[in-house]
Amino acid sequence: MGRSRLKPSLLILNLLLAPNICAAPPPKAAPEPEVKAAFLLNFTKFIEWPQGDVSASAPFPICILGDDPFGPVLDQILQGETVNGHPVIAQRLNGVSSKSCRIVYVDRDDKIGKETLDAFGPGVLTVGEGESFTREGGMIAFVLENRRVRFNINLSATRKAGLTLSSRLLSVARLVEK
Amino acid sequence: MTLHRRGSNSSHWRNMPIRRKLLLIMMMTTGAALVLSGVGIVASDSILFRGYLERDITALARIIGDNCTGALAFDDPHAAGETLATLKARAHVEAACIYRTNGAQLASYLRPQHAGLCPATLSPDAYTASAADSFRMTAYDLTITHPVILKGTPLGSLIVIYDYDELRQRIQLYSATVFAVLLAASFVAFLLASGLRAVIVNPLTTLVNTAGTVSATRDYTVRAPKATNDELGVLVDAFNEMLSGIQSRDADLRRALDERSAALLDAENARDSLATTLASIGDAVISTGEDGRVVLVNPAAQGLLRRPENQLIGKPFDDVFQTIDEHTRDPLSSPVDRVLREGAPKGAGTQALLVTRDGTEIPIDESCAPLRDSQGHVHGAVLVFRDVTSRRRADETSRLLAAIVQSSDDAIIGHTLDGVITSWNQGAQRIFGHTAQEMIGKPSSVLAPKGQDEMPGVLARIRAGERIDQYLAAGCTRDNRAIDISVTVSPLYDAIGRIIGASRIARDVTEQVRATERLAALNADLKRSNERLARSNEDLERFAFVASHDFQEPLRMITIYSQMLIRSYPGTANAKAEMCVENIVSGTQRIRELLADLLAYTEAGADTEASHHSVDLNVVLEKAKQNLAMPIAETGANITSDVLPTFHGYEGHFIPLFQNLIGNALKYRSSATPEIRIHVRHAGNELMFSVADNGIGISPEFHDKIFVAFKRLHGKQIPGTGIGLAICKRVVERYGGRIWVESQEGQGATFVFTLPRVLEITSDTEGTINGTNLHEPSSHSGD
Repeated sequence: MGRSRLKPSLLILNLLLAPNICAAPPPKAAPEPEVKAAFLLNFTKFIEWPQGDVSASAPFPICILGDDPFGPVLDQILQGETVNGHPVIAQRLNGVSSKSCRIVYVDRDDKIGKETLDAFGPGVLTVGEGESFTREGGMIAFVLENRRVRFNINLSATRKAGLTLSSRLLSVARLVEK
Repeated sequence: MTLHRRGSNSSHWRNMPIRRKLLLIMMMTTGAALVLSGVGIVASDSILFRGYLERDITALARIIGDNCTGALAFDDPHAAGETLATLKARAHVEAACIYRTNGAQLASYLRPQHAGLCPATLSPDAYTASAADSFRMTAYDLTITHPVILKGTPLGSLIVIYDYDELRQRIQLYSATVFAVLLAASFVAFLLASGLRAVIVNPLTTLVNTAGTVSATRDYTVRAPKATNDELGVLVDAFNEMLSGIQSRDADLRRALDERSAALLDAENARDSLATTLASIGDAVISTGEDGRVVLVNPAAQGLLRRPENQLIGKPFDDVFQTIDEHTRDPLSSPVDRVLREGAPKGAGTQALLVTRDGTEIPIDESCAPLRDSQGHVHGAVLVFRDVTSRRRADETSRLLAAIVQSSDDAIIGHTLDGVITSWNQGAQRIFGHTAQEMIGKPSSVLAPKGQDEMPGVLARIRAGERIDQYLAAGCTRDNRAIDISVTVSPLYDAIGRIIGASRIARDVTEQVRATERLAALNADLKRSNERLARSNEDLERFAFVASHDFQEPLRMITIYSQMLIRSYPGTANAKAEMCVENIVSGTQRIRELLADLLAYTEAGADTEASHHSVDLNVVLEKAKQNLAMPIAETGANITSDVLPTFHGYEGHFIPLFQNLIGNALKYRSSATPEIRIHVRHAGNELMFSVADNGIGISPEFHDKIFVAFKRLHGKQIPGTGIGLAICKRVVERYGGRIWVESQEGQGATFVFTLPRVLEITSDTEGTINGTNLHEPSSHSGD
């Protein structure tokens, strides 16, 4: 029996009871730093991280190179999160590189060279801002599209760094550079 | 098969032949098994399939959810939409929607032609509560809510709505299959049953037909054929055995029945003849059973009891038959009760009155007897009664007649046709002196003087049927006295109308005969003296006429010469002599008046030739008033009169009539002025005249005397001849009328006389008496 034979009265009732079917306004877009912070965390879940030699209790630091656009938001989001059992923390680097970083975020305004990023060594995900970031050897770059935060992926860079990105991550990327 | 249209299903089932019942049973068994198994299959398949469906959809949801983790994690509706769009391959997915953790919808998929099935947002509560998949089923679809979790972190929820069309299609398919199998199986079962039922039905039908034949023809020699050795075979054997048993008993029964029919016929004949007898006899017969209830009542009894048979049969006897004592009027006890109690017949009661339903009381003679059976046991009573009203009445009549005969003053004597006396009543004894004992058996000649017995001749006429009324005969009493008897002889008849004798009714009329003879003698004397009287009367009248006429002249001479004597010697005679002469003159004057009246009186009685003139009484009245002019003037009397009629008659008769009546009124006036009123009116075939005055009146004891000649009430106080009213009477009677006076002393007098109307002369012009004129008084006043 097809739905088309549903009684009109029941259909109307359904329509009335269905909450906010059409008139629902789109949820208010979160502030950009907040979205980016969440994305940073989510990247950890779609990437196969090399085990390395760190101890089980070692933290999983997300380092911010240069200016910190997040403020306390990032810390709040990362609170209680783990990757493979390692607690995720945020580290602010002041021009100093650290070997323990697993994700390095570089804000748009900081003109940091390819070399600086490479210095973090393999197995570190580099995340930057703008189209140019991935073209210049960065791995994932936040871009704004229709005022929404999207990201591009430089697959060859990740591969080079020994990071395996989940196809699901790739499928939602705006642009995947090979 | 008999179909009862209004019968219940059960009776319909009961009346169904066995072969149909068998078929039905088989078909229903098959059908029930198939339907039940079909339903079972469909039901179990539905359940199994639903489980499968749930697992399938869960897996589907999980795959889609996993594929959406990226889109959810990075809030990419486009990617999510693409993932969901892959569900298009599953035709029964109506819709799928994906929600963020805050409940906002990220992306949705809707099957073409379906819209808006997913909620726009999910409540965060629902989201957090559903750590596992949740199912919600409606009549039409199945909704699975699948939480999307990435590495322990919830990312959002997926809702997949799956319709049941698949399940429904499956059920329809299965049902159609089961139905087809059912039809096929039923058909096969029907074929099988049709073939198989012959095994049971055919021997049964044979048995039934045999039983039908036996019951229809009563032929118990028929046997049912035995086809099998199963229970039906046993049944057939038992049936055949039963038939042979019945056959022998039927033969016995038939013999017994024949004997009984013959006996019944005899009894019926006997009863018919008894009933005919009862119906035809005049006596009323009621018989009752032992319990006193009526079992038989014949037409005569129904008539007397005033009820039809159906209101009597079965009723208690006392209810239908109530009697009272004729003298005391107490209810009488039921004769039937007594007879049933005592077992002895009850003789005729003579004083019973039967009270019928309508209250009529009928005198009856009744007798009651017990009915006994062959052992002498009383098993009922029979009451015979008859209406004795007519016999009673006959008895009364004959007693009445006997009383009349005995008490009659007349002698009533019965005779044979030979004249021998057979009865003799008291009257006969009184008249003839003989007693009944002496006379019965004697010949009739004893009652007549020797040789004068007329009876033989009379009896000869009686033999011819004649009745001889009222003849006079001579009789002879016991003491040899001759008497006159008036005799009527009538024939006596027996019951069939033959003349067997004569009844002589004799009355002693000796006295009457003698009285008649005396009367005849007296009449002869009277006639002779009448003739003498008439002669002398005639002489007297002639004398009176002559005397009154011839005396006038000498009396006139006496008067004249007496007066001349006084005038011839005036002054010479002394006063004494003058007084003598005056007395002579007045005496002669009175004699002359007397003579004139006498003349009038005789004339009134005479057969005047001129009696048929017409007389106008108004003229007569005028003349009478002229004659009385002097006294009228003297008294100042007022005389009024109706218009009077004209009569056939003689004027000379009527003038004295009116003159005397008016004169009397003037003469016997009271102190008042005389008022005299004359009226006339019709009274039957007479005219009634009245002359009324207001004078001194007349005492009632003198009302008759005053009309006799020379009778005067007042002597010399009031002068008169004493003949006036006698003349009036004579005149009125001469014309066939009457005259009388109505008066009380001191209250005036009214003289009334009548004249027959045949004498009246009616004329339209004058002297008529008709309605209006009659009562219009014309006043005559003398002054």
